[in-house]
Amino acid sequence: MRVDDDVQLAILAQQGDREAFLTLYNRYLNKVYNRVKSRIPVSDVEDVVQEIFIATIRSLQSFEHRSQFNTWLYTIVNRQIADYYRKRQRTINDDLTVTLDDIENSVASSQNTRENMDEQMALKRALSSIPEHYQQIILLRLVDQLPFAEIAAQRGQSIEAVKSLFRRAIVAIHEKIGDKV
Amino acid sequence: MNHDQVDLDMELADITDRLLAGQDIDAAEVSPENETAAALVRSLHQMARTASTPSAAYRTRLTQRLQEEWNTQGYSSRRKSGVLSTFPVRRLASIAAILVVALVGIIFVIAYQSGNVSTLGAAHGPLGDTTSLIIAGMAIALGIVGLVIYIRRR
Repeated sequence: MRVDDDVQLAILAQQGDREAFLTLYNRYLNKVYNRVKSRIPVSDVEDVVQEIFIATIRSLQSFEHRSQFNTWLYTIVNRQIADYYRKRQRTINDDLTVTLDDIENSVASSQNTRENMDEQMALKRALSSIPEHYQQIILLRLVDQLPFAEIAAQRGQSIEAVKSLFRRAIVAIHEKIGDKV
Repeated sequence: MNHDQVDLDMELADITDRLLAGQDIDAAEVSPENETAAALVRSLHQMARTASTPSAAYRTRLTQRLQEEWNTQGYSSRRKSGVLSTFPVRRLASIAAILVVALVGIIFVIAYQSGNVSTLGAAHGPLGDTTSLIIAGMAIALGIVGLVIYIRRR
């Protein structure tokens, strides 16, 4: 099974097997990249993804094989994203910079594109500010595109519970975002 | 859980499944209580859909940077097998702590059996025999712990 496979690779990586680590990295790069991209401004995605994988190498020895590798990795992803927003809060005049960053990244910045980006920024911020279990369920279904049944199996919950959690997560986003989207 | 609530959960999950399968959802199909939630799922899905894969150039840069980090962390020279390298740090620390306690205990027992305990705290030169034994034992234990950590980090 793939999950066990991940754990075996992680154990090999902990023993110094670089190829095992690179296999895990190649396996998860797109998923991590998309998770980050769905939660922070586009201009900073590459830096944050790099920080995530560096943090993964640095804390590889703390992976204890009891949890699934992806659960452990996504904890690092969440921590790095939280750090990103914390640092940003401290150093930058928030909203203005977010908008400018995104505009710089948009070659054809028509009014529509701008509105779209504002909407996406609002969504990203809302997604990053709801409780972690809510974030996880949305990311697993909409970004990783895992079926509800698979999410339920992974979380050890019934499919009904997972669907209920999903709806509560969406409602939580609505509460954060109001009617901006 | 309220029955209506369950129906709404199921409906939103179904809408989500259909959106992800590339189907269009007619507004009339969505119950009024789920309208906002369905619109949000659509927006989130749109956002996720614009997500892309990293460029080849970025992938190459990142792989190179990670290989440097890998070497900096000393993984390359790490033994590829052996019990110590496979043990998680917390487990190693626990073993080391048990080792220290066990050694101190053994020293106490030996000192007690040889009748030296009564000299504990007594004026017996700058350090009593038992105290010296304990210090020596702890030094050995600390040495073992240090060695374990050194091997672990190498």
